Amino acid sequence: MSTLMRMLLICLLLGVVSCGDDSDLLDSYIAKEPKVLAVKIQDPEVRPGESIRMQILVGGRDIDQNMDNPVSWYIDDHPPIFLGTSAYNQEFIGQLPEDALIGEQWFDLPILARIQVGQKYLNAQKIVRVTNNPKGKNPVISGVQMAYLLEGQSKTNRALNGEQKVLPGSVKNIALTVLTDELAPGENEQLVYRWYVSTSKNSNGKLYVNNDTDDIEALLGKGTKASEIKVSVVFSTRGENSDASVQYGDYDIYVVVRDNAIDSTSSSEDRFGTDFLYFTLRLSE
Amino acid sequence: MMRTILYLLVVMMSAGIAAGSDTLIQRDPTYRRHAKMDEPRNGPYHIDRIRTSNKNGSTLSGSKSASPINVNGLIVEKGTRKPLSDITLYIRDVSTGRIAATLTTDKKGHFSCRLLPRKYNLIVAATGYDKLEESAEIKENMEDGLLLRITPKVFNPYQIVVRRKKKSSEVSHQQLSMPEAEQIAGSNRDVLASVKNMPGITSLSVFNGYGNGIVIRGSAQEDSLFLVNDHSIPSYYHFQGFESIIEPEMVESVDYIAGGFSAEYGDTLGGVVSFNLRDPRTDRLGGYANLSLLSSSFLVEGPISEKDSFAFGMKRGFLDYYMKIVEAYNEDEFDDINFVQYPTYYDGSALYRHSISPDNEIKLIGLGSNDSLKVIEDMDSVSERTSDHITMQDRFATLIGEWKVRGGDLTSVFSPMLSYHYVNQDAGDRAYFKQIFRNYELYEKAIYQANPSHRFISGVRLSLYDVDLDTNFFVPNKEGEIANDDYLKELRLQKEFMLLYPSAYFMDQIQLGPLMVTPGVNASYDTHNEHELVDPRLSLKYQLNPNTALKAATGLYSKMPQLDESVAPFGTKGLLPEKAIHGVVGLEHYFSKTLFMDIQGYYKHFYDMVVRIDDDDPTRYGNEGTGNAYGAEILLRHQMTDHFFGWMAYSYSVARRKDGPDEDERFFDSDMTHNLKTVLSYKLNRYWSFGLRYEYASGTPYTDLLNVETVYDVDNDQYNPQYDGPINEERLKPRHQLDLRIDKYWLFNNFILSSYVDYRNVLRNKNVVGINYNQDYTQSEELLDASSQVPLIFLGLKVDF
Repeated sequence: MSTLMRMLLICLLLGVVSCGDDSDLLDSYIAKEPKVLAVKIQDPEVRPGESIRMQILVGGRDIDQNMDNPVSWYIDDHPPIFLGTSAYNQEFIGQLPEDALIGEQWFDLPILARIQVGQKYLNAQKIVRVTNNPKGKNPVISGVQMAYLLEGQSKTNRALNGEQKVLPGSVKNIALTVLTDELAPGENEQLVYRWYVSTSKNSNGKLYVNNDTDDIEALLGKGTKASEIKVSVVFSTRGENSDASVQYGDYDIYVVVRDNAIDSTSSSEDRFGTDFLYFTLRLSE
Repeated sequence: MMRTILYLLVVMMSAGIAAGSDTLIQRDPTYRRHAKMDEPRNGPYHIDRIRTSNKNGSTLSGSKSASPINVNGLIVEKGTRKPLSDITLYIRDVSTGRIAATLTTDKKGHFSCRLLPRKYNLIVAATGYDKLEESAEIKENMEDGLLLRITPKVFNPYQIVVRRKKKSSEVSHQQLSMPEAEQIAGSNRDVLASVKNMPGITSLSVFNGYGNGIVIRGSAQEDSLFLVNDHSIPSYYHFQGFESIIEPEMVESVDYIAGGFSAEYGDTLGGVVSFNLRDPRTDRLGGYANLSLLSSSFLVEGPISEKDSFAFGMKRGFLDYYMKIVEAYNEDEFDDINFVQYPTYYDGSALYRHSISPDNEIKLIGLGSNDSLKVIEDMDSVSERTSDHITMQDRFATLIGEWKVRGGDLTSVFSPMLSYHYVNQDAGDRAYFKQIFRNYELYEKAIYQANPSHRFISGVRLSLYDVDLDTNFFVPNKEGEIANDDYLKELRLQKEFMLLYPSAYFMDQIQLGPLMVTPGVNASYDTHNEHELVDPRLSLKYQLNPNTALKAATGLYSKMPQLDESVAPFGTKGLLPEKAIHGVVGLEHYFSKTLFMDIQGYYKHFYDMVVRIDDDDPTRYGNEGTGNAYGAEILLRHQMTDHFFGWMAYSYSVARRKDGPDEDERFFDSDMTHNLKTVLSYKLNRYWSFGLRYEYASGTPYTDLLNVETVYDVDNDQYNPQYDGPINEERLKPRHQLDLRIDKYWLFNNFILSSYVDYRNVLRNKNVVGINYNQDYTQSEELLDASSQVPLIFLGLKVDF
């Protein structure tokens, strides 16, 4: 009956039984093969008859964010209802019918995006809420704050969407903090974060999330927590356990910020808002 | 004649024996009080036999000047304190060297005689025990009784009641005794882990291969029937497979019926695993305390009065402590996880037995269990569908009554049951499952030996479920299915409802010379789906000679749909019961009283299997599935003796199904072609025993999802595979596993201390239990079972008293 519960329990109990994770699979925050990381719909809650703008984010070692591969957009029904096509590097603009709400206060419309990258088709589904009383807005990412130690000195830097940043290989750990604009009360309930990093685009290097408390606090201050699902993350440039050589190379770093829903029964508290940002980090010799 | 020879031998042997240790003979104050209370003229106990060495027939020996006095005593087994009946005690007068008395203990281990006050040698030479020769001085005004402890060559701390062997019509029946279940290597005292060593059982991977899942002849665990004293209890495992709830010491035996079973068992397609709880001991107060790496437990049992006895035991798991230790050493790993309630499990059991007369007894059995866990992740959940907390509570309490009356040729067992089961699995407002199940059951079983040729066995059962359900959950996966985005559909159900299941069965064991024919029928009614189930069955046993029998069985087997398949909105009301036709043929041959072989071939045809029938609506089910399973099994088994038990079992099995008329045939998830098991346990002496278990198993089928197209569910951060190809086309690698176990015993006067080491997968074979994928199915790796990753060495320490 409760597959999910069982899975969660298994994970917890196996922590005891197997005393650790010996998996060789890449962590989910590392994007090697192309994969969809986010779909952004502006706005996440809309009135019937309004237009919506949609955009997809694909990550991976060989992904060029300026590619113009066509993205097909559908209403995810059985079978899917085709809405139109846009280039990857552009938004798709769709129009909701005036009579989308037939006697209902609101409903959730599933949107399906489909893109071919290389030989592979990537699909993603995202909900947009159709309602006469839209409240939720997308969060807005204004940049990423970078912090690191260089020759014993604390350094900070700010990365904007699409930028390339260069750091010397002597930097052992890089702390990244996503910066978001303040929204009006009620427009956001609870932001959740997801960081991704591609494998190196020009070497075999990998950046791993560093969970070591001392390293995190050295860059972000006492008591600060950081991980791939928090507002801040610390990447090690020295391999998975910070014990490898410098992982020189070019990495795309992505951050996706979502607005978390708390209660499924209350439309005013449901949030489907999303924003994303990417930039390229070069670890140079 | 034999006794005379024995007597002479003892006299000869004892002539030059020095006095033994005083530790074996004590004047027992407890015993003295007992003797005073009874105030016997010739001792408090019945003297079965007194033989004097005086040829003129005098009851006394020795000096004519002193007066003989009453001497009482008790002979018990060292360590277990078990009173020993029918033990012969020789009392030799040290001064004359003659045997003064030869006594035999009564049913309660007592002896009594009259002796002149002086020094004697006490000699006990009993089969299965070390010879005891001790000196004792009998004095006038001696109030204390004599307590003699004799040392067994091998021992079992439990009182095993040897019951008359029932005439069974089951053709695929094997029984596992409690001492066997407790000592099988690799099972770590887990009863259900022991059961899976029987032929025809394959083990489903639960908890990464650590836990137990039982698949009988290709039928999934939920398709088999698990019983405790004829009733289903809410749960058999802690945390759905981690450790068995029922302690092995509570169980007298476990009956395992692989298929073709009689009409006695209804509402099941697969096999039957039936626990028979043992009666509390009546000879004395006893019990055990057990400390192992996984859990600790204790049990106290004994007589309350001449007619009443009880047993009470509890167990507590140590998962929470391990979690705390791991947490302390891995602070970074657990940085984001806060345990509000560490995973904890308890269980308890209680038995009360009242004997009204030898043929009339009442039993009350109480079983209970409590699993709980609550975790809060110190992070914001990415998925909107689950919150940052996970709660799991699973607890039940079951009370079973049993009134058994035998009168003439009729035996009646009336057994009511009350059960309360509470489940709360909560991962937020969108993913929770809360259920209260109250089960009230009345069961009456009657056995009537009409004449030497006909034995009627019948039963009536009325089962009422009072269900309180509150859930909001996703569509559950079914056997062989690949979850897609339709399975993220949320279903909400808040409902109170009652289900009534009446059922009855009747069978006639007809003995026609060497042939036993057992026709029978099991009938029940599914009041929820409004369908009747009528299953005729037939078994045959032909005794070719005293050691060899041919056997066969066939019948129709039905099982009501599961609630999540038939209760809206999760499922479709009105489904037919799932059906199977079993056919079994076999031969059993006893090479000796303890060594036998059992060969069986079987075929099972499944139809009306519940499957999903609408690709767009995963809540719509129909009875369109079909399937079959066939195979052969051979078992060579050595029954438990003082020193040895073991078996070798080989099973060949094929289990295939179709999920609809237009679907391709495929293997069941649990199909396992070859399975070889060897279980050996050798008790070297009373201090050491060694166990070995080896298993070879073909890999089970799976569907390869590497690099399949996926749909990324953005709002739930989940990649759902879009797979429409053949199911279960690939196979996991075969599995080899060798387990070893060593038991060491220390015998003390009033208790036995034992310890064991149970080492799973000694050779550390890399056994694959599944395939792991990364989040978007672009990478895969073999998932190894827990024993392949870390040494699973279980240690245990136990005191039996």
